[in-house]
This record gives sequence, C-alpha cells and structure tokens, in this order.
Amino acid sequence: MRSISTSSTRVPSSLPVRRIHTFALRRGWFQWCWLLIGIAFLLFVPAIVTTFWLHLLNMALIAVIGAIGLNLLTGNARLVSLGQAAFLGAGGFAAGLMTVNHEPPFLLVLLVATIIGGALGFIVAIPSLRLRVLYVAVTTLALHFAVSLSLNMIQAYVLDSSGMVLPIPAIFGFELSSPLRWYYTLLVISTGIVIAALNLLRSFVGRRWVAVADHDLAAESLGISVSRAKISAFVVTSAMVSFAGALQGYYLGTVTFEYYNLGLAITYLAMIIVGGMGRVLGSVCGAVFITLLPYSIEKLMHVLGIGAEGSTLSGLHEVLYGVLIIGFLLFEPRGLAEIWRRIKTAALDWPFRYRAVQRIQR
Amino acid sequence: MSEPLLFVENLEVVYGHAVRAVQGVSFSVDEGAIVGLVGLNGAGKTTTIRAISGFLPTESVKVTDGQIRFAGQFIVGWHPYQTARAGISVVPERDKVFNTLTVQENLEVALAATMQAKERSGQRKGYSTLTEIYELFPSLRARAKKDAIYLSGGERQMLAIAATLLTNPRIIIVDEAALGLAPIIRQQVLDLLQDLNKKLGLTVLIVDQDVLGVLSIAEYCYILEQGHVVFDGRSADLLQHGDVQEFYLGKAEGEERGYRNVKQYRRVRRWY
Repeated sequence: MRSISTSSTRVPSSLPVRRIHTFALRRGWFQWCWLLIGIAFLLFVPAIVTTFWLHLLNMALIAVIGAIGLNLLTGNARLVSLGQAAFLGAGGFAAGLMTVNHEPPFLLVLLVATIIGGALGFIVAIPSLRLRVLYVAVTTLALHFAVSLSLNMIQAYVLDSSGMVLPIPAIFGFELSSPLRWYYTLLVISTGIVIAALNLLRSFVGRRWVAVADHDLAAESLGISVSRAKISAFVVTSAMVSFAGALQGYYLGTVTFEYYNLGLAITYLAMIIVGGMGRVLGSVCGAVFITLLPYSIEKLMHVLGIGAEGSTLSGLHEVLYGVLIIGFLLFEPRGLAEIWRRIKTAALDWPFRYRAVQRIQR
Repeated sequence: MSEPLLFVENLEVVYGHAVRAVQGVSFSVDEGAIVGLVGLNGAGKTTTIRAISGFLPTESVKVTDGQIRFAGQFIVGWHPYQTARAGISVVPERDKVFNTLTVQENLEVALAATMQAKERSGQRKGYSTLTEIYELFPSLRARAKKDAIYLSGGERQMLAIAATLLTNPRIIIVDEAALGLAPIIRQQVLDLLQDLNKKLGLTVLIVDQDVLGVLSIAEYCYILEQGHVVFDGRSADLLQHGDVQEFYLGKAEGEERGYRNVKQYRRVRRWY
C-alpha cells in the first residue's frame, strides 16, 4: 500500500504501531510506592485530625462527587451550568421526602434520588439543544429558581415545617453513625466516582461529549448525534450531582431549602475553576480546597492571634471566592491540577530544569 | 445501468425566503466513481452538499424543491448524523478536526461515532481499525499524541479524511479539499483521494474551485454557476471544451482576453 505523508521522509509501513493507550496498572515501582503512601495517608487521616476537621473532610468528599459531576458538564461537555444547587437540592429533598414517613433502605433512596436528578437533567437538557454557552447558563439559572421555589413550596405547604430530619442510614447493617464511619464510606464512594469519571471520559460516551463541545459540526458529520450527546451529558452529570445531594442530606441529617441557594452553585463553580476545568483531578483538588479554605483561614488567624470574630468572617468567604476565581482565571486558568502537574514534572526532572528533548520516533 | 449511489434531482435551496442559492441542480454519482463538482465562489457548491448531508441548519434555509436519493432512500430532511450513519461522510470546509483532542483521540472519536452503526459495516468499504489508518497515514502516527491544533493544514486535511474513513463511508464528500494548501500538498491530497478510490473502491465527490485539479482526478465533472449546472461531462471532454478552457483554465484562442472581456462575454452568452 502506498503511504502518503506530508513530511518529506517516507515511512516504511512495516513499523509496528506503538500502543498509545496507557494502562493504569503498568507503572514503575516509584509510582506504586507513592500510590501506596497516598492510600495509607487517606486511611490514617482520621487518626491525626480532630472530629471537626474530619467532618469538614467528609463534606469535602461529598463535594468531590458534586464537583466531578459539574466539571464533566461544564469543563468537558462545556455546557455551563448554574443549576448545581438545584440538582443538589433535588437529591437532598428526594432523600428527605422519602424518609419522612417511611424508612426505606439507604441504597434505594440514593438510587431514587439519582434517577430524579437524571430526569431533571433531561428536562433542562431539552432547551439547551439549540442554545449556546451563555444561553445554556441562563437556562440552568432558570432551572435553579424553578427548583428553589418548588422546594420552598414543598417545605412550607406540604411538610409545614422548617426542614426535614433524616434518619441515620445503614448499609447492610453497617450504621453510619459517626464521622469516622462516614469518612471511610465516603472515601470508598468518592474513589469509585473518580475512577468512574476517568473511565467515562475515555469511553465512547465521554469522547462524544468532548467532540461535540469542541466542534459540533465536525462531530455531527462523523455521525455523532449532537442532541443525544448533550442530553446524555446533562442526564449523567445531574444524576451524579443529585446523588451527592442525597448523600449530603443524609450526612448533615437535615434538609432545608435555604441551603440550596445560588451561592452554593457559585461555590461549586469556584471549585472547578480553582481546581481545573475539564480535569477530574481538578474537581478533587478544587472541592477539597474550597471546602477547607474558610476554616483553614480561620484557623490560621487564630494561630496568628489576629482578632477573628465569627461574625466578621461570614462575609469574608464570598470575597475570598471572588478573589480566588479572578486570580485563578487570570494567572492559572488551568487550575490546581495544572500546578500539581508542574510540580510532578519538576520533581521527576529534578536536578535539571528541562526534560531532554525527545526525538520523535519515526 | 444500475441506479447511481447518489442521485440529486432538480434540487432547489432557498436562503431566508429570498435568495435561491441552488436553482434546479441535478447530478448523479455512480458507485466507485470520482465525481467533481466545481464552480466559483457563490456558485452553490457548498449549499448543495450541505443539502445532501443535512447541514442546512435553520428554518430560514430550506430545500424547497427536488429530491436527493442515496442508495435508494430519499434523504431530504435527514439529520446530519443520520446521513453520516447511512454512509455519507462529509469532510467539512474549514474547521474539520477537534483542536483540543490529540490526533489519536480525534480518530477515536470517529470510531466512537460509528459504534452504533457497526451493524451495517459489512456492506461498506473503509477502514475499521486504527492500525490500518496509521499504515495509510504514517505522518499521523508520528503525531498521534500531539494536540490536533498543532497540525499543519495538510495534516489536518489528512486527519479529517482519516477520521471519515473510520466511519465506514459509502461515499466521501470533500468540501474544498485544497483550500489554503500549497500546490504540492494539494496534489498529495488529491492523489490520496484517487488512491482511496482505486484501492478501496470508495466513491468520492470532490467539491472544489480548483477546476484543473479536480478535472485531473475526477472521471466526470459538473460545473456549477449561480446555482445551475452549466456544464457536465467526462473530464477529458471538458478539458478540451473551448468555454471551459477559456473561463476556468485561463486559456484563450487567438488574442489574450482580459478579465473584463470574459465578464462581458459571459453576460452576452447566457449559459442557462
């Protein structure tokens, strides 16, 4: 077969094709060591932190799931969503309403909340099919207010109370009664979601999302249905976020509509912007960073002995998020994930500033 | 003779209720042939193939008359992804690759796109694996891990064609195959298309302004002007035709004619 090449060198076609897929398990001993150290660290974290910080870590782990959902939608499929709080609220309220009078199994509640989130995602996906970036954002904003109002109505008229109290959940008899137990459960779930998200992006479904986000006409001319790709992106990610919402409802033990305000949606956007758009690692970093940030600052001020009243700090969060978002957009648009990548390459190349230029294998 | 693979009959496309961009174009493409569709800017070439592939986007652009038949099916009004799955692969005009993905991922996307349409792959001619694609396009293999945004114009065209091959096309329509490419690269792209046609029996419809280039590889050619087919014939015949030589190939009998003269001549002599 005659080879066609735009470069002047002709390449013998008998060259074996290099496998370009990376197998996660095919690592060097160095990476294995770091992986084991990382796992050990995560497992022994509860031994070194106080209960309050463990609680924060649990919140961060739940936020990781929500942030991954949002990042897949906004970072990878590039459908900007301001409806994060609505999806979280839908999950939380689904869990709350199901457990008001009955006591259904924990996993069943999570499943139903996930399905409800997916259905909500389907509804908001329909108007987004013909819209572009900014208008999709406005659509999701409309969804946010619609859901917010509905939750308010449910809380005020149907339940006639100021919130719902959820029971302590149990997985096959294992009662999630302490932050420690929650920590390990959430660690397993979040790790599962992280791996699932990474695999999703490598699957045909994820590839279709990215292709449609990148160039919808070219994607369509290859036979990808743009509308199906967008709908599936909305459904899958909002189901994920709703799942996180239900988990959060269970974890906090109470669900009130006031919690799911626009500020929460902005917080999640801050997570993915600070963490790194379109990167799963970015969602993880961003979620942990943003969740722990206010309390870290409080702690820092306490340690430094600067007069920190609780009341003065409440307004500081929003200012801080704003400054962080602007700062990251200006100076580090690819987020913490990019910083981490740079640290990693710097460490691997260590005594040298640059890696030796690799000869392109021809 | 058996029915042609693609048959466009009396096609009429109207933009915004006002501009008739394509006014009764008819042509046919036989299975396994290379057919050219040439004409100047605004002749209606791109509109025609957009009508075929279903890319006429909004309510204000409509196919108002005529039929398009592909492999026995009437395809007017189909969505682009439906026509693509039926086997019509269009290499679009300018942006044709996914810039943020690597070359390898670009090709994987094409594979992803056709996973659902695999059941029909038995009847189609094309490449099904990346290995074969890389064998055909070694320059793409060398750049498999590079982001597609760093590719040169010629490589982008190669990548776009490679991606369409992975979708198992029955006909591949190349819009402006040589737009913005250096003459050498342009010839390589045209050679590539001819190669694919010979080796795989792939049906090719080339849409271009470069009349000489298209005539050199196409068996049959249609010349479009202002929404009409003004000429059609075998390439060898067209190359000999006086008017084609004069208007498109820049040759004139006797005295040299300037642009003004040609324009004048065109106005006097109505081709349609």
